[in-house]
Amino acid sequence: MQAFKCALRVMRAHIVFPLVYIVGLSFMGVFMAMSLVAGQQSGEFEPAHGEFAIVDRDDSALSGGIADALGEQGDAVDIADSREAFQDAVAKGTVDYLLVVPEGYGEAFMDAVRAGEEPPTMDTMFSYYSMAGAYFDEAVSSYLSAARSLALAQPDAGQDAVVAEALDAVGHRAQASILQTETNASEADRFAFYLTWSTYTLFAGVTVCIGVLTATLGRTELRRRALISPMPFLSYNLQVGLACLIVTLTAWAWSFAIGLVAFPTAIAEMTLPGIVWCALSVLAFCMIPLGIGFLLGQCGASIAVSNAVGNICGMVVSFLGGAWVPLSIMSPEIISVAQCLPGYWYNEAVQLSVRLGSAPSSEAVMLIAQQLGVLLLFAAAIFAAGLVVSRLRTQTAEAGGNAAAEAALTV
Amino acid sequence: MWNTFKYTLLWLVRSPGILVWSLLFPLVLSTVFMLMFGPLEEMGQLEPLRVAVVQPNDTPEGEAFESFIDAMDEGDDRLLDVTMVASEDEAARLVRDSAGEDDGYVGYVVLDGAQPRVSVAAGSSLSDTDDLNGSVLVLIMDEYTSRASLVRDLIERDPAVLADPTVMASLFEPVRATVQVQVTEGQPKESTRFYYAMLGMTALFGGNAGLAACVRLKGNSSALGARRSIGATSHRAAIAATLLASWALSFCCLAITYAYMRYVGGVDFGPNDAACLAVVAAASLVAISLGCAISAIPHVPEEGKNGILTGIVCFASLFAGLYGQPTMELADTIAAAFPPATWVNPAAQISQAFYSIMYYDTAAPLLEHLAILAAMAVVLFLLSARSLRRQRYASI
Repeated sequence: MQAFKCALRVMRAHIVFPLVYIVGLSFMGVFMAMSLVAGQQSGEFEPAHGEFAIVDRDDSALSGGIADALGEQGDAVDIADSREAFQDAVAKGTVDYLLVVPEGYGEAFMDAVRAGEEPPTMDTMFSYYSMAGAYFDEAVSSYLSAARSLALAQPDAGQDAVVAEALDAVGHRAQASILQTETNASEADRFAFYLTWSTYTLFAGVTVCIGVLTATLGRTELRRRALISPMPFLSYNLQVGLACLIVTLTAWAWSFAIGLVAFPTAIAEMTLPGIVWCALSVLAFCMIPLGIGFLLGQCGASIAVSNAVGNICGMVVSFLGGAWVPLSIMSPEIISVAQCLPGYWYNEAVQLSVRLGSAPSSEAVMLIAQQLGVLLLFAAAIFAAGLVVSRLRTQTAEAGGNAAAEAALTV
Repeated sequence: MWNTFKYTLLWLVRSPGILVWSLLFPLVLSTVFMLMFGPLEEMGQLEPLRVAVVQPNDTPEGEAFESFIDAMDEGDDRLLDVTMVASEDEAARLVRDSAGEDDGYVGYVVLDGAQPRVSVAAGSSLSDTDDLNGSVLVLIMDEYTSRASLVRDLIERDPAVLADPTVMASLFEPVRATVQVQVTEGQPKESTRFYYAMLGMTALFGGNAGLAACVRLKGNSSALGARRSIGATSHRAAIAATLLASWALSFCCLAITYAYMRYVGGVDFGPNDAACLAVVAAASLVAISLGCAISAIPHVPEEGKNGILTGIVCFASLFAGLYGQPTMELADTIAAAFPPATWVNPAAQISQAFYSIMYYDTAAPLLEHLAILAAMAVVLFLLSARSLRRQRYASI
């Protein structure tokens, strides 16, 4: 097993690659999955809380009431009354909604309403999440609508009285509760997100590590020495292949084990068949970067090229697998493209696996097995391409085979 | 010096590994981003919410509620997409059956006496969009509840007041007294942040050029390095020319990526091309200095240094918000809680520098980011100063 040991020594000499790609990126995945917040699952419904700012140049009862009305929907943030401060707040997303109440607005509103005119307007600014901005805007509209009705119904009432009654009116709320469904988000979804993110970790990590191994062992002089050594070439190749497999299995075991340790609540929620199928999904996916690394090695790619290919393809595969942005919001064309890549099928397999029951039906298992079958077909196709390239490469002088001997004789 | 510059640049251009990182990587990634972020632009817009409403009775309260629901379901800017159903069970079944689908029902509403009661479908994903949709639905029903309460109060006090048509009309027509204005040069978009974070990442990956060029400056790195160390060109001139060539390559590749994103992909970078190119220049300088600093790490082979560079860039990009919305929120939280975290993060600084061109109408924020980037470059060059000095070798 000299070649096998030598291959592992090569990997140890380049330990920085597994440390960066497999260990480092796994922790990044854990970090990201932990930062996700699940929506409400039961009990009374609590409205979403955002941040708003009111720049009150009026300081009237009506303008003060706006802050009270919005206080139920979010948290007030103090913003200085300057254009730079507004730009900063909106551009950096410090607030979702910024409202500027102009001087004299309260009086102007009451006068306009009672004169039968349209009320004066106020400037608002939304940050990136325009939906959150629209939500606050609706709350402002609700409050001002109540104030207008009250001002019209009580022509002699002062601003303070109208505001107090308007706030009382908008304080009346509808009953709201959560309706449980079969697809409630759970802690298992956090684990699924981690596994989906792992497409980048594993693709880049395994491709680069296998690329490093094959590039180092594929150097012309080294191959020439290996070819003329007493060790049968089949045995040499099998040992190198075994080393590649060990590296891949280590990456798989590490990545999956970190997930198991980091998300104990999710694991407690899942069933044993679900966990096993998740592990098998990750393993099947790992075979693809293993094949890519092998293919790159047969193409004679340098470590730098393997590094770049692993990263670029890893990002594209994970991106189109829905690891960064959910595929549900993508156009049908993009989803069609995504289906041509392994990340999509892996993601499907993981999503099905995390929700698998303790005694899954054969249909449910078959569905996951089909996704894994697609992944293994991807791996087989890439591996076959690698074998073809390998066959062609052995005929070149660089590979150190007969062509190299002929080239040497010619010289 | 010119020859050193020329041949270093030629060598860098002819190195596939370096060109892949500096040019192919950003072009591929920006193409993927462009293809994917079209639908994301629409994600932040308020789409009508799908809601099941249980048909109210023929009582005055029921008719008033039905009129309110009809008003919410009318027009181009309608807030609700209503499906009327006969019973609460049917409404609950409809919501449950569509849960988890892309266009599933947000929930259902039933008029209980004179008060609407809302049931919001539980969140089906780890996303705050579910909560926000439910919140908008509840807010609309809150609005109905408050109006109904207002009408009851007015009737209790003086029923004649409702005979006034202006008062009656005011109860059914919401006040639209706000106007959305743009205080920044461009309207903030979530996708823009992805593009800028991606430019930050790809700029730093350009550090591979600086790393490779600096490694080859050393006399014991290669035959060329040995010849250069005993050549007539002074060591100082060789360093300057090498760094300049690396920077030139990195700048050109990043400028091509910028032009591709702006003119082919239609990404909004604001009105000022010159300012954007200044950021590209500063970003390239930081990238080269980072590569140069990493090249100075002793006892690590060049491939290992490439791995270290990749790790640093990936980690820095995480805190610039590159890897999806959760990381963007995480980056915002960290930046708000501990601002120095972004001062030392080159990816975040590059991304924010582009951001300041897009969103501010004064140059001060941009200059601040450029100054931080320049300071980073100086610190990184200083870190590598010892390694860049002329060395003596026992054997080469």
